[in-house]
Amino acid sequence: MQENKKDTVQNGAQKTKKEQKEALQKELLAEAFNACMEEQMSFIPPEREIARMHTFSDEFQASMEELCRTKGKIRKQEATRREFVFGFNRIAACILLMLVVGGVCVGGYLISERGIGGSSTGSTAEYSTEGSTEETVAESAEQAADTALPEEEQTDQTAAGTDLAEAEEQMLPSESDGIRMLISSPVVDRDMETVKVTFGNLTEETVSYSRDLELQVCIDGVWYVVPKLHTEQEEAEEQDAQTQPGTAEVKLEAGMAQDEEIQLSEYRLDYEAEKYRVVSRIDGRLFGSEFRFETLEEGLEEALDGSLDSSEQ
Amino acid sequence: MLLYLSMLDTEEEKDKFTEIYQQYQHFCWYVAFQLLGDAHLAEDAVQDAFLALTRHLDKVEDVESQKTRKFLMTIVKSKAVDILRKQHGEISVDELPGEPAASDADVLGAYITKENYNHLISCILELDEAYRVIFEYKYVHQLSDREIAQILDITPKLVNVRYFRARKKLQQMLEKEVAGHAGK
Repeated sequence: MQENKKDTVQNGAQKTKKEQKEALQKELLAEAFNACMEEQMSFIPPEREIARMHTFSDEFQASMEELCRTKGKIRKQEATRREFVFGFNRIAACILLMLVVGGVCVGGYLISERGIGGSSTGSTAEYSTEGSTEETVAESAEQAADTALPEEEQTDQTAAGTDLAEAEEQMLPSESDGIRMLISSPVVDRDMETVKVTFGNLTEETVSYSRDLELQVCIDGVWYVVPKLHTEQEEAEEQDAQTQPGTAEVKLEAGMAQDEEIQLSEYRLDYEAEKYRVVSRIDGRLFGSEFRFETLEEGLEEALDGSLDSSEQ
Repeated sequence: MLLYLSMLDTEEEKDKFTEIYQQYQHFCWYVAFQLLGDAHLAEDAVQDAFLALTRHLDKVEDVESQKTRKFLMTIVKSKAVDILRKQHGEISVDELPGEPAASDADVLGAYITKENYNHLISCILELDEAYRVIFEYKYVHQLSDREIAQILDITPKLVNVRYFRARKKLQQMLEKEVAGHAGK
């Protein structure tokens, strides 16, 4: 018992001795380094003398002034802002990606549903999103329906779930003999509601054109007429126009131009289609001016650029 | 009231910082110039030092004291050493973080005695600045590894590694110094 006590006392004493030694070493080191620093400082000339030796550069002075004014806060804020912008861009990119994936999925589903849900294959629409077996069934059903149609109707195409009639004329000029028909923009945003068409008369005589513009779509190199989505009221209005001939005719004097608009919302559009054109009859001749919808990638790039610009601002 | 006090504190700190800068800008440049030998690089070191100081203004009590002068001197020297390190390329192998080897027995303590004080002084004066600043931060300014790491913009682990290297170097120098003196 007594030996244990002795050991504990001895250990305690050793510990204290060790601690004291360490403290002394620390003290000596601090003293020695302090002395060395003082010696080093004793060789440094006074401020005025150094000022005469060296003039600070303008760049240095400007940045130090800024540092004094802000106490370095601007730099910290800049770093934080850079981190924020970087973070924000990443979030924006993620959201865009999710929107694109969502959009593609929904769009794909809708297109497949409408495409199969047309006149001849309505009963097979439900199979479109299911497995490959169902797809094969749907395809074969479609083929069967196609072969059942009369030969004349077989030239018609289905776009966005609507039967399309082949255009009266495939090759149409947009300009001929001083008469022009121009689309305001050859690439149209997908969310655009109208497309502006300008009729120009560079001849010396008055010409007349039809205000009843026709929208045509090009599928596999063949132009088809895109039918309008009619409401009952619109149908009645159209019938009235037909019973009163001449109301859709517009006179365009020599050297004059006139803008017309075609309402895109009146048509069922397939945005993935190759190209579209607006067709009108001018002085009995058909004219067409082409445009296309921006691709999904173009739209995305634009949206991304916009978001980056706004975040940079 | 708290908001007012915090604003006042910020303004006081701003004044203190400006005062320190005005008082020691040339001194700091001279210290950096002695190590770097290039006026523009010395300006860079001064700028880095004052930027580091903005985060540790609380350690400066009296602007005109010798303590503040020493603190600034250590910061500038360490920033100049950083510039030299960058100039000489990547971090050397011995800079890579790692536990000090077991064989590197730390016997420096054995040499730190009152009797060896003069040897210690002469060794410190010859010690490379890169090692010296670590000792200065630790023993003269009494900063923790974390605080040193903040100023040097490195990890506390790397501070520890540098400290052990510095101790080893000083130990080797002291061993030689003491042995040389005994030989005489």
